[in-house]
Amino acid sequence: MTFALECRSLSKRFGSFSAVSDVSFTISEGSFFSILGPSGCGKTTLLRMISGFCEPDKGDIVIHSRSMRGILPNARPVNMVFQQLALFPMMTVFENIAYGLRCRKVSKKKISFHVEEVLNRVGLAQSGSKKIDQLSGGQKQRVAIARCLVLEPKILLLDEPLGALDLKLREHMKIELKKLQTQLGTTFLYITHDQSEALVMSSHIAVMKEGRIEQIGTPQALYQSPKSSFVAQFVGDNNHWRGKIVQFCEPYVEVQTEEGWKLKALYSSSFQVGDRVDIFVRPEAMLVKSGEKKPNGWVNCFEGLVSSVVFNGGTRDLWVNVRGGNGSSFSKELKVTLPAQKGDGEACLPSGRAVEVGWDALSSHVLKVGVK
Amino acid sequence: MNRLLLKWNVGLLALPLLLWIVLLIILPLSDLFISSFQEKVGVGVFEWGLGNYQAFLQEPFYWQTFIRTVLFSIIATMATLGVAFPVAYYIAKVARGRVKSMLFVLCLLPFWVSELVRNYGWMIILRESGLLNHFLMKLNLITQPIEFLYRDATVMMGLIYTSLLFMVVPLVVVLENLDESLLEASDDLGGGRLISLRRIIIPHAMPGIVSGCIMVFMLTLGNYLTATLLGGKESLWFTEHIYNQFMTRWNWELGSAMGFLLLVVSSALVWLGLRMTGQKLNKVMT
Ligand SMILES: Nc1ncnc2c1ncn2[C@@H]1O[C@H](COP(=O)(O)OP(=O)(O)O)[C@@H](O)[C@H]1O
Ligand SMILES: [Mg+2]
Repeated sequence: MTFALECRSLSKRFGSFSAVSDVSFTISEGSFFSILGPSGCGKTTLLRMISGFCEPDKGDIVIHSRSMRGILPNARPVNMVFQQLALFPMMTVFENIAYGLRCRKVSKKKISFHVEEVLNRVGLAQSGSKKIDQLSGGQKQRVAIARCLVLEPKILLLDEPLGALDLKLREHMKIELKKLQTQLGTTFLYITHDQSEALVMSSHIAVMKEGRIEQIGTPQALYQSPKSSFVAQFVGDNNHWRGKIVQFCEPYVEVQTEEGWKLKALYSSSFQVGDRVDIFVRPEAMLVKSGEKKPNGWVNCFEGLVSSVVFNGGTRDLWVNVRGGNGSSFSKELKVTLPAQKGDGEACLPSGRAVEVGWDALSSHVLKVGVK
Repeated sequence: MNRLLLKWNVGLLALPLLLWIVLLIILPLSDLFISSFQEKVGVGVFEWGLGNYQAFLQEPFYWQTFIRTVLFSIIATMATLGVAFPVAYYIAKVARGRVKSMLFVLCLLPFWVSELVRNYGWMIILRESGLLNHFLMKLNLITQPIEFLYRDATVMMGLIYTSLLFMVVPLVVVLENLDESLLEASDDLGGGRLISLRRIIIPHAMPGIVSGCIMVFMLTLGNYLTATLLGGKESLWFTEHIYNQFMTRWNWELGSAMGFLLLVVSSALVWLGLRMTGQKLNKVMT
């Protein structure tokens, strides 16, 4: 199988600072691949190496089985949507989009045909003669994408293209971009620090941290089985404890947290008593009960007080102030997400209510500290 | 009450500006304008008429020098632009930190001495027994000393040297706020260096180019010292004619007509330049 893009142990240093170290991944053709990581983790540097603006110190970039070593940016079959868009302010929308074709010496007639077509596709059919500063943020965005698409690149590189838009437009453009990509079948390499963007749009995500890739997988895989504490905390919300495995009691392991809580998780053969571990529990995996009757079947169960409630439309987030069991004096805020069903008495817990919070052993995601 | 006071205050603030415009621009220019239409008919007796302009046109020596000066100024302006653009680009986009400020100071350096001294400096280097000839002879490149002075090329070089800063500064200013990512985008879309230069850099720098050209053109056209000292008798500059009319011939009326012609032609050329590049004067000058 040939890949649209292969990165083979890419590294880049700036002086003594290692911006990208030993990054390898493959992108199959037609997929929407995201690189997700906090600001400053080397995403832009990685993208600039792929587009050719910056030479890797080590490693190789292969696009459709062709090594890109020594090939200049203007000769690579990729195009880039820049973080600040970089539209040419001295030209009209039409001229901006025609720029690449004119550089390729395409005939005037063909240029106007292709530009009109791509303008239609991004929904800017009437705006060809406008100046760049007459466009709204979302329109500029689309011109920047159209300017690349008209060249039919093998891979479209996008560097946080939604960063400059306001929230509402961003939500809209997320869906638009995904639709556009499905329609075109072009391979997209998308860079973002926003995990929700990555989760919504991507077919695969690579999570980056300090110049290295932490985990690559589908959005579901990253969300459900993160391989490192960083991924667990960065992708989606999580409640987090750190502690030590204290004993096995089949089919569970018991973990004593630093706060003195005793939590149960499913046993796995890789665990040993004394291992330092992180435990993550997704807010939506938590259950809440109030009133007299004790819930049964919850392996982990704690008493607490609802401290605040946030209504999100489809769901409702509760922050519950929980005292660890067994006389632990430390309390901790846990986030609990409940579906907001109509007439569901338990979902309408007001703040200040005493509740029991619990979850089953399967929902405790245990990761050994310092091991990938 | 307050309002009236405010009005007065604003009026007072504008007073120096008003004085400056009237005393330094309107008065001398209208005097020039009026006296250029005065013909001398006797001792101290003048009449209105176009005689001065006729005299100018009837003397080929005058109008040939005039045309030559205008053409030379245009060429010198273009040549200055050609020299200054790479320098400005290097200062604005390539050089960093200390090197950058050093290069800027280097451009400024010639202006720490007066124009007169600067030109004498050139004369010391270029004359027949000058430094350049000395070195060329030492290196056995020439056997006879060459007179570098009093040639058109020398005048041109002197003019470019004098004007460089006035071109470099506006160019550096516009090029500094050229977003580098535009160049990368151009590169990414397949544009080579020449295409980027022609379609991104030059259009972006246009206001700076035009304002630099206007300044340099005006300075060159009205230059006196460089043209006179380095040019000698063979390559006359029009300002010399004007100077002669005023100071040697004592014919202020013809001198005025010549000065006024220079003003009209230079204004017309600036206007033409603005029209051709599609720039607005107010945008270029800010
Ligand atoms: N040209 C450069 N010179 C020196 N350091 C750089 C350069 N470009 C990026 N860096 C550093 O590399 C790190 C990663 O930058 P970048 O790839 O832009 O991160 P991201 O896009 O993930 O926010 C940052 O700490 C940044 O300061
Ligand atoms: Mg970045």
